[in-house]
Amino acid sequence: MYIVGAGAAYPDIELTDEFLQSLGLQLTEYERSVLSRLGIQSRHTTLPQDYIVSTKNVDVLQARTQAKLSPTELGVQAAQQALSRAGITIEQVGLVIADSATPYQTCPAEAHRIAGALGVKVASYDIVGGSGAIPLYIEMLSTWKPERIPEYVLCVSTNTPSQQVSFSSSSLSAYVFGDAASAVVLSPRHPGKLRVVDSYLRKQSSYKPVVSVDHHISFSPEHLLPQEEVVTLIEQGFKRLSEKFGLSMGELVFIGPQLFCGDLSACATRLGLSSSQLALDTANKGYALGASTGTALASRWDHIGVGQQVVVIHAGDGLWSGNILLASE
Amino acid sequence: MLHILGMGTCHAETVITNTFLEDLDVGTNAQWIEEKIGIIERVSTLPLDYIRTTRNQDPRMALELASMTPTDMAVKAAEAALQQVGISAHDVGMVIVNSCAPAQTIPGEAVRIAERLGASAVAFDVVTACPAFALHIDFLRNYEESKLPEFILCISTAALTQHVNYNDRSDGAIWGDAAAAWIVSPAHKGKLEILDSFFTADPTRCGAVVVDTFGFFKQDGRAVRDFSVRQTVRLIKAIEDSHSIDWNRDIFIGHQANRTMLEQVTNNREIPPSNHWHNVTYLGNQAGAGSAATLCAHWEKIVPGQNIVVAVVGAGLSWGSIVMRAH
Repeated sequence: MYIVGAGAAYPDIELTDEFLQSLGLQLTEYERSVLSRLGIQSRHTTLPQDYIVSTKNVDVLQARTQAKLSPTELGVQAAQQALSRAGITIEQVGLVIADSATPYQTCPAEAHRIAGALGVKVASYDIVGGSGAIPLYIEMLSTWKPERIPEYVLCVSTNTPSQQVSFSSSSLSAYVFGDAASAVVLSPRHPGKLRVVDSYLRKQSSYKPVVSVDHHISFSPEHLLPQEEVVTLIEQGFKRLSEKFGLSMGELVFIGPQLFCGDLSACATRLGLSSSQLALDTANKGYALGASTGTALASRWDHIGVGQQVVVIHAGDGLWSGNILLASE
Repeated sequence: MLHILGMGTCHAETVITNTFLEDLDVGTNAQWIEEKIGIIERVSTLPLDYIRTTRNQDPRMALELASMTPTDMAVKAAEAALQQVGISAHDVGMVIVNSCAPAQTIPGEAVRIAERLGASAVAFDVVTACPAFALHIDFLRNYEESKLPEFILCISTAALTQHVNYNDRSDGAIWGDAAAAWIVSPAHKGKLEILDSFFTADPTRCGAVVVDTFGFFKQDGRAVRDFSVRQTVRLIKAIEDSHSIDWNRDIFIGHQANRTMLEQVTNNREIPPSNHWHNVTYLGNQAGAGSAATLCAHWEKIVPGQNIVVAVVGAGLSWGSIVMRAH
């Protein structure tokens, strides 16, 4: 299996800590310690700042009328970049899979809306796997019969959680979430920039949701994995991949669990990785749930050199943990 | 080969009659509804008083007043399926769920259901719309069978009456709330062996049927109806061309959109009424649960040697089919 293209899309409106503080959203000491673990210093939103200031987004339906971009539009932008980098057209794609935790419509599937906006008649459906969307898709397609997989599969994860944040009461959520979409083009037959050397993803034994969305979004920091467990999972992942395949620790790119950018920096030091080897998209863009791993990959795409390894370790969303080794060829 | 080992369903308990809809005084009457779509009753998770007094003008309120969520119905359907197969939730290695209108968009419906069942299985949503039965089977056929667990729990659940604008004379007559569950195995032979499956979509027409996350179901009724009949007929013809189908022996189950649409299909393909199984007349359109719920209701009537042909269409626009052999 190859990743032949990757794309990301972010809205261009930034919400700084100062902006959020000006709304009166103050963090408790506990919340500040959580945010330190997450390492999020800024976030991007599809909502106009004026709208947030005047309404605090009490009614999420109003957010949808004011937002600059819908999840579908963000998803389309990410998909177009992934297709462009793959050097293919949407007509060459035989399957579109998508994930969104914040869809404007629950029917039809987000994949239908994205594929429809791209103007293609193609098999499409959603696979909603939480924050591990892109790792889940890679793992899943790696276990499919090759003859059942089309030449190219477009996988998109798109989320606009800031549109479901209450900026009047939910302080930590306002600081955590950002809007983004990511996309990858996978192919079982056409060699691309990254070969999937190994994929290992398992459900965690007990599940406690860190994020839930009904009307407003809820963030439950008490369900986050403790820092030592995140670090242990990362170290175990590296150990497993190193023993099985050998890792060039000084040269690889590490895409860790994007919910824990603060923890990642500490962990990288223990692993002997330099800060330049870390993909920390969430730190400046906010946490976009299932899209974040893909955006971290896409933001590094043009800088991954031939022979370089990419280690993706996913953990901490309460649902999945695992690791993927990619090799640039 | 994959096999379906057993099935279960859950339907909402509140019955909405055509007379009730006529009494809402929104420009429809019981006779027109029955003649137009062939539905006499449908079931809802909403109290009749709530529908009568509010016409469900704020679907967010429906969620608070409903007797069951899509998750509740799915859990009951799953428990029935597990009981029929004689396994427990602990035996299930994968849970996949289709839900057209979940109460929460994350965690996924499959995760919530697995948690409620006490299943420590891999769980994720695999979502289209009404053709969920075909999608799930076709999706599982993608896997190397050695990579699949021994037992897979598939579910489609929807409570679309919670998203109906009851001031609309057409929409109120269509939907019924239900969940259906089926257990698939690559390792154990069961009553139904999967011979073939198909699923695809035309997303350029994705605006024809929509459910807003916090709002109403809306559709371009005429366009969808014409598409449904035409596409279902095409699906059946393709199966007739590639399998030895004898409609005096074999069974057809379509998307339970409405009975008149289904009769147009069966008339076209000359499928006798006795070999056309449906449940839409007294349960309404149960979205992705309808075709599986119909098969479940006829489970004991399945005769060894029969082919069961499922051809389903829906939002997306998407469509798919399954051919099963009874043992």
